[in-house]
Order: sequence, then structure tokens, then C-alpha cells
Amino acid sequence: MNPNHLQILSRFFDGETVDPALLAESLAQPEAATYLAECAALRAWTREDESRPSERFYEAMYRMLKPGGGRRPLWRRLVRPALAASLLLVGVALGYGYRSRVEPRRSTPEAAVEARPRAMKPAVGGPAQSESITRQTPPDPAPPTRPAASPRAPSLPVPVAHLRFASWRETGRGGEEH
Amino acid sequence: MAPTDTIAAEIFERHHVAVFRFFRRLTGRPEVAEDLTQEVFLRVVKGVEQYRVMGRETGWLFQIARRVLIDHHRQHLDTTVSLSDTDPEQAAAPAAQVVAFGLQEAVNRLPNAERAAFLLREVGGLTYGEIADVCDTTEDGVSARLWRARARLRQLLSTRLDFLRGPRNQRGTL
Repeated sequence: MNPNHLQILSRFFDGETVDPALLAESLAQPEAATYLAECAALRAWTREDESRPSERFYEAMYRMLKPGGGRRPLWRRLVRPALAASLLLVGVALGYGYRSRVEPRRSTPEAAVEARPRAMKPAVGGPAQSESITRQTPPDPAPPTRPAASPRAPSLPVPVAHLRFASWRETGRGGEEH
Repeated sequence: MAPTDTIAAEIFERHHVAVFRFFRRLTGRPEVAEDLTQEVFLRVVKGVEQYRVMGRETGWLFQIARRVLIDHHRQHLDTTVSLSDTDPEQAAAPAAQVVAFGLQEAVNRLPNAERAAFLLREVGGLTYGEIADVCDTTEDGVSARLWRARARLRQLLSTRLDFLRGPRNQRGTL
């Protein structure tokens, strides 16, 4: 039997397409039947392998194949967003702290607004009393606590400064707030 | 369970034993075969979308196995596990000196390309076309590798195959 016959028989044994005439010629060879039987024996020996992977392998594989197993764990996926959120909060807190330190020095008008309730305290009586105080307040174009060069000065509402001086000067009742 | 996870799990259930045995026969080392099989299915999980497009499951799977094997070969310089080696004489043992072999020893003595083709056919169950894709060769090339592999194995295992041979064929053939 020549190599061509062996190749034809091998292809035939594997279920591949072969030329019928060549197959007939190959099968007519004296050792063809033995060759096919030996191919079958080799296949049977190869496939009689009963080995299987170990338990360790299966544990790892099922861990990987379960839903989300191939992905990173939840806590690891949340680390970056949590870190970013923390940094953002720290930044906001620092900014707020810085502002609260700087603002009282820069803008007295806010301080004046803060002072309004205290100034109204002695004048118990509500809006009417407030009205009277307002009328008594002399127009003061240049309050001493407001720097003229302040960039925010032009935009400030008039009543702020107005109330401040009204409570300070005109009520003049015992200096509770001093 | 998400669809891709389901598909990957089903592919694993259907083929992991064949892939493991293929690697075990190819490397002769179960622990290496496990690692390689695990790597194959890790890549399956990552690339299961591609499988949907290609459709040919077994061929696709052993394509991945081939790439895993090549990567393993590059990392470990292990000459026993290459599918792409086309030197037909490499690792082939002179049959005349061999008295008796077990199947694994005989398979280990096949040249790399023939061993891969033989195991892809007999363990993986791939067609000639699929083997040709996996091994980057033609179907005729696969056919030649397979009959040569069988011829060598018949020589190496001649003692064990004697029971199939009648008195007229006892001299051995090839």
C-alpha cells in the first residue's frame, strides 16, 4: 500500500470527502482492512482517556463563570467613584473654610446685615417702630465701615447701611449690644 | 445570568473536558493542561461576542486554544507544545528502536504539527477544515499530517496493535 492509499483511507476514516475511484482502489489493497482497524484502535485508545481537571480547576472556573465573575468585585469597582467623591467633599470643605476666613475682612456690608436683628432688639414693637427709626436716620453717604474702594460697594442695597446706622445711633437705648 | 455569561458557561460545559484532554495529551502534564484550559475559557468569556458572529463553536474554541498554546510556548519556551512547528522530522523517534510504548509516550514522540493535527481530530473532533484554520494550513496539509501521524503511531504502537493483524499482515506495514 503506497502513501496515497493510506491518505485516502485516512481521509475516508475521518469522514472527509474522497474520490470514489481512489477509495475503491485503496480498499482493494491487501492491508486496507487492517489499516482501518488500526486507525479505529488508535482512536479508541485516544478517546478512552478518562482524565478530568482537578477540583481546584473547577472552583476557579465556576467562580469566573458565575454572573459577574469575570468582572472586578463591587467594592473594587466603587473605589474610584468613592475616592473622587471624597476629594470633591474635601475640596468643598476647604473652599468653604477659606471663604469664611477671608470674607469677614473683605466685606463689612454682610457684617452689617448680621447686625440688623441685634439692632432691632431694643425697639420692641415690630415694623412700625422700625419705620420710625428709619425716618430718623440721617442720610449718611459715606459710612465709615464701608471702604469706598470696595468693588462690591455700588451693588449693595441701600437699606443695609441704612438699618445699621438706624439701630446704632437712633435707638440709643442702653447699649445692650455694645 | 446575563446572556454572555450563559453562553460562556454553556461552551465551558460542552467543551472543557475535550480542551483539557487535548492539552493534557499535547503537553503530557495535567497541571499545565489545567492552566491552559483555564486561560482558554477566560478568553472565551472575554470574547464570547465574537463567537456569536462566527458561529463555528469548536473551531473557534480550538483557535483560542492554539493562541493560548503559542503564548504559553513563548513564555515558557516549551518546545513540546507548539502547533505551528512544521518540521516533520522534529521529535520523531526512530520506530525501529521502539519496542513498546503507551499511547501518551507515542503521541509525545510525534512531530509537533502531526501531534497537534492528530489530537485536534481525535480529541477535539475537529474537521479537516477546522484543523486547517487552527493550524494555519490547508486541508490537504491536514490530511498529510494525519496520515503521517497515524503511520508513526502504528509503528510506535505496533506491539499493541498486533492483535489486529492476521498472520499475513504480521510483518507490519507502511
